[in-house]
Amino acid sequence: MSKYCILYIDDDGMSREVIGAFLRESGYEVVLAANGPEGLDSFASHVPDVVLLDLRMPGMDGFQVLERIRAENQGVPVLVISGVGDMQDVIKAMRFGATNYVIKSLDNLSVLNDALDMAVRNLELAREKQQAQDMLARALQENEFYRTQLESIFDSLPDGILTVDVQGNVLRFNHSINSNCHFDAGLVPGQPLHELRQHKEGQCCLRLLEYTLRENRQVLNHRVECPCLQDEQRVSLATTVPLRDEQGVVTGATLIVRDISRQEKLEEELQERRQFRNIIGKSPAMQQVYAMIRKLANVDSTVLITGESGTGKEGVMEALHYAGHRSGGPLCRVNCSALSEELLDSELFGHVKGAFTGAYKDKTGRFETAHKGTIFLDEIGECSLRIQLKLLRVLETKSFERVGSSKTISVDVRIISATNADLDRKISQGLFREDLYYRLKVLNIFVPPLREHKEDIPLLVDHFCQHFSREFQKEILGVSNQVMNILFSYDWPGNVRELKHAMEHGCLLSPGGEVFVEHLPRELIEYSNAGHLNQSSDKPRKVTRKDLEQALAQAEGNKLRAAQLLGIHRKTLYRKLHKLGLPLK
Amino acid sequence: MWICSASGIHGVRALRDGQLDKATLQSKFQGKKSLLEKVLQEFSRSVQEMLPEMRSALDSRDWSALEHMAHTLKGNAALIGANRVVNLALALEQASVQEDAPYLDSWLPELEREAWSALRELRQFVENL
Repeated sequence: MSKYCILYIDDDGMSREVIGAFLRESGYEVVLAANGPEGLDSFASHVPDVVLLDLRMPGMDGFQVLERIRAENQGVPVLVISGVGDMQDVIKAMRFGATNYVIKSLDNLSVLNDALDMAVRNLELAREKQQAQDMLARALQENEFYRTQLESIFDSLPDGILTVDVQGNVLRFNHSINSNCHFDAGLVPGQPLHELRQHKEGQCCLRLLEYTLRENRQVLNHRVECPCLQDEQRVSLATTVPLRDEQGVVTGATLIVRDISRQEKLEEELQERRQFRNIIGKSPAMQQVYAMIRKLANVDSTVLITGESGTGKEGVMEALHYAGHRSGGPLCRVNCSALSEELLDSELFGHVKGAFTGAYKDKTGRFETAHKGTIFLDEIGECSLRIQLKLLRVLETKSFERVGSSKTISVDVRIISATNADLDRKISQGLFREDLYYRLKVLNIFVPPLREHKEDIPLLVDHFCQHFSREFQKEILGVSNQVMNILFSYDWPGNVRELKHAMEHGCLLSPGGEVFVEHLPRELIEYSNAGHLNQSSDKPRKVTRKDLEQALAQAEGNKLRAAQLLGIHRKTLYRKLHKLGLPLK
Repeated sequence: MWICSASGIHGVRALRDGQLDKATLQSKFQGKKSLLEKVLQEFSRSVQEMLPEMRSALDSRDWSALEHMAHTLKGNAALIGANRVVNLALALEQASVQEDAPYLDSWLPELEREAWSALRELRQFVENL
């Protein structure tokens, strides 16, 4: 036992000497004081573990000493020692905060020892309890510190984070989730997901969260194009992960939304685009088309897309619709050259029952169907003058009547039209209304013929090879050098559509690997045979290890450039690297 | 010999003959002769100093001093197990509070006798150790 310090305050010299000596014999360190003030001084200077206090003392008695000690220190055990027959004093002392009492007598010397032992044990327990409480307080403080830090980090993250329980009720979220998903009204803990789903904000992300809750499966970096904003295209990467407890039981799910709109925009600005949605091409001519699409996608102005047949005008129209804020609305296509005037009239504007022979019931026209979306009028140059007049009115007033009805219908429709006809000539021939022409071509996108951007042919060929490989379930790696020569020298009057058909033909006939001349459509083989291009062997060029190494060194490791230097396809280069055991990286 | 309190209010109970509880003394101070010698020295000083002072206080009717000395003597006697002295001192302490002069006059001589007797017994006990 470590030596505990007992302060014994008693005015009686014999008691001090005898009891003091007895306590020392029992192993305590004893400090003696002959009166109250001396006792209080010793209490302050020695800081004893236990105080043994006589009550009846001249001057400052034991009660006053006890009162002063308790005012300073509530925890120190104070045992009062009283004489025979002094029970009233003892009771009073207990009320003053004494811990225990002992009657002064020879018999009670051992009782005194026991009482001190008990006081010391209680003291140890109290100290241990205090230590445990201090440790707990420190742990709680530390915990609170880390919790606050984590909360600050959680709130300062640019990624939006939302957690829900298994029932789909909101548990926690950070500030960024409101801005990243445009929960303008703000989220509320406990709010159910289905309530959030009533608004259009964050729908794509919430659907992912619901999927994760339903299937207990994570979704990593799912690209989401948010249609929730009118004036900007928001692109995010959404990740949803199930939340599990220590036993692995799913307790909810977390949604993390990273806004990558700015990155995408910067990439668009910095990098030459090889593709814009379904349109392939990286040539300057195509970059101009992409720039126009980006500028015009989010405005409601009428757009006229011009270009030769097969250049991909419909692809441009789709890009305009799907990149714009009307992408959530309908897209209605009408080929104006495919229908008679009466049928086109009914198709565009609808009719009421009995409007003409065969009108057995009411019909909704394409303009009505396209409300809040886009209507695409292909081959607009083929419309009759009467239809042109009706179109002019729709363009001016955004309203029309169904055939056979006098009721005016108003619609909110973006009109995109396309033609390969020379409308200027048609106007001069009186076949096309000039006023309609200028209404339609408020904004004009010209899609260049393929012969004007032949540098895109390898990219297109690559794209079609992949496309038809999937469709025909065979591995088409590319085209032979001679085929590529033919494709480059041909004029492509049918433009990209013709190239696509040629590639479909080639891929279908090729057994796999490369497409050779014999796999091409007849007109291209004939074109080749007519001597329009430099004759060269269609056998794959023999590329040696040395050739490969030199080309790679010259191209500084860039495989595409090395392939171009060797005059072979990039995939052929990879195959040869693999075959010769050269490192691919 | 049995003694009883002159007045029941002072609570002097009948006590058995003989002064010291020698058996308890023996057990408490076993192997601690020097401590017991210290006890003898202190009790001797206490008796020799206090009894004349108590007599003087009684003569001068200084009840407070008499009460305090009776209380101290009671405590000292308790430490050596001199129970008769303890009870007589307690009775005189209470009588002093009540300023009961006749009681004190008649019982102080008895306390003096018992205290001296207890001191003699203690000295003899220590010498025989």
